[in-house]
Amino acid sequence: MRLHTMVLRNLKRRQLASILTGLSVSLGVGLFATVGALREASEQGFNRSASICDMLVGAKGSGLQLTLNALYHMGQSQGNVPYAVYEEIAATPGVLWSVPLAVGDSFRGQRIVGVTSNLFSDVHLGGANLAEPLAFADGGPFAYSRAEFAELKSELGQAAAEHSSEAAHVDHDHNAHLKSMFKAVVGADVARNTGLMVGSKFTPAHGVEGVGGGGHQEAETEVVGVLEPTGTPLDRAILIPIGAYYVIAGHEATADMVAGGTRDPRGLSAVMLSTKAGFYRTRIFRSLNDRLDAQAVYPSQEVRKLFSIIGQGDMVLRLITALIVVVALVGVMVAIYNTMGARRREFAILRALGARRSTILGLVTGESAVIALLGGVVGLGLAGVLIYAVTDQVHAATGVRVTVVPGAAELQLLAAVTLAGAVAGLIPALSAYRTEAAYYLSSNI
Amino acid sequence: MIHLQNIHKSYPSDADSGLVLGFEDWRVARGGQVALIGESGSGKTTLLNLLSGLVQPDSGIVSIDGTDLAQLSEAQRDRFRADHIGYVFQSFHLLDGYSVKENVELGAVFAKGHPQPGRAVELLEAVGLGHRLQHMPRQLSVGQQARVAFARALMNRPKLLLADEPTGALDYENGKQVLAMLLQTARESNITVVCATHDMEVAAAFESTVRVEDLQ
Repeated sequence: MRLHTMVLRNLKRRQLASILTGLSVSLGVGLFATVGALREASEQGFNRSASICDMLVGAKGSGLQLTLNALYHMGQSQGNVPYAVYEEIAATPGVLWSVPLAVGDSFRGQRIVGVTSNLFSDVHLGGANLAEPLAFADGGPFAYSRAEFAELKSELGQAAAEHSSEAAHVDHDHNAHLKSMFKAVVGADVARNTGLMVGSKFTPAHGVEGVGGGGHQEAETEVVGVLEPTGTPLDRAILIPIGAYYVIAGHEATADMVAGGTRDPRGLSAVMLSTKAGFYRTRIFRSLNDRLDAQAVYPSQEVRKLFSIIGQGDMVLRLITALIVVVALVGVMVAIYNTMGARRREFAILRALGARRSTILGLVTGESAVIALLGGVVGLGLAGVLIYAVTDQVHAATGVRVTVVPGAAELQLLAAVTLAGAVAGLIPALSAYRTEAAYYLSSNI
Repeated sequence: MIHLQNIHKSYPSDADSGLVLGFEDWRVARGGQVALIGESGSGKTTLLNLLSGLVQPDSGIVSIDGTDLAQLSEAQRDRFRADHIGYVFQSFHLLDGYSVKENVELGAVFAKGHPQPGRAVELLEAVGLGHRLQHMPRQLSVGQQARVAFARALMNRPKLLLADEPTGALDYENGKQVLAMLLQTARESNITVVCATHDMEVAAAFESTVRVEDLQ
């Protein structure tokens, strides 16, 4: 019989108390691990999404709002950047690729984003160095190049000039070229939530919340591709050729618009771009921010800022859950301490059989540590269940798929809780350590 | 085997002078069987505790098989006790929550050479409890508990067996059987036995009887 057998045997003798105290530890550890894992996984997910591009260019204003709106499809756009900015960016040395974005419509709450088709080939999830191009579960990308977009913008500009007193008119019925633009690639979640699949047709609605604005009946769009899940907000996006966005009724330029401003309907919601690293990136970033009509932001930095803002609240939450663990461990200590009186004779017998005081100390701290360890293991299991239960909600809110695979952090937490359990057991253990065997072996005790 | 010299042991809380034990010289040869008798409070149990190393004398030498326990650290005394001393208590002190077999195994858990597979079963079979290995102590009669305690005391193959009123909780017949078993096993294995008792009939079964008051 070994010491650990004796520890387990003693816990089994007080099964109910051991289970109850262990459960209190598991609840604390479960909450602590859940909060930590959700935060970390969310940050990783946000960072993964932020790595879609190196830089975002949008209207002057909050960089965080620009990032959240353009990349995460959250909140409202703070305005448009002139189309000319995109053209300049695309022609700037050091820019590897750029994708213009136009948002403002939706379908059943899923945002519709106008893009050029190079997004499907240029975007690599996890950063440009990671070979994770966008993959299709079904169908394929639509074709809509920057040149086609430039051509369309030119046509629309001329049309606006010719109809100076009314909205630039687009004849959908007689323009096969324009009709062919109404194609869409949908994210994995969109496909699941809306039932859209390759060959499905839908009608975009004005507005990003899917309520309020009316439908664009003239812009019935056919789904040509469904993306594989990416764990990013792309899963929740309906991607259409950006040109289609500009020919949908209600998006046309009007004669009384203020050209070049943030409300210029001919402008773009944002531009995603990837650049060469180092000098080029810094120069492009600075030159864009020197402009009066646009700003450039690094999405990864904005995400870091976001997490530093919410970090304070997160810290309080972590502290509270850590306190729950501490209280549970104090409960373990009290539960074991309360048995000390009845166990003096047991310790005295073990001493008479040759057990050292340190062995008695180890026995009691071992019991406390094992309760904490088992509580911790159950707690981590509980955390896994909790995280599994909320992962869909987090994904629905942020587009970030939270996955929790037990790793080094969980093992460290388990080790820390076990150690803390052993420390909590020290007070009753010291009491046991001081047991005078000769006194308690007396027949009268 | 046992040599106690210039022993002085007192407890500060003692109402009188505090003196519990004080004597110049006491020896027991290897394989000797000695009954300690004396009035309650005369120091019989204290003397057993001195021999086991659970209690230290204020002064003097407690030598067991040539090892002066007073010169050892507490941990060393614990190890010495685990390796060389067996102890049988009046109320047997079996541990709840451990089976009969496990209680016997506890007798060698802290000894050098642990584990000794099969020895616990051998001992229990020898005392007639081979069929109750997995029973719990509370499921045994008092006489059976005494046999388990006796088996536990032999588990580490002790050189010295200490017994504190081993028959005190037993009826006459059981007491006689346990005592006979104890003395016969000790004789066969050349184990030195020191037994504290107030029962003169029990004391008479030993080779020699020492009145603790006479040692003073």
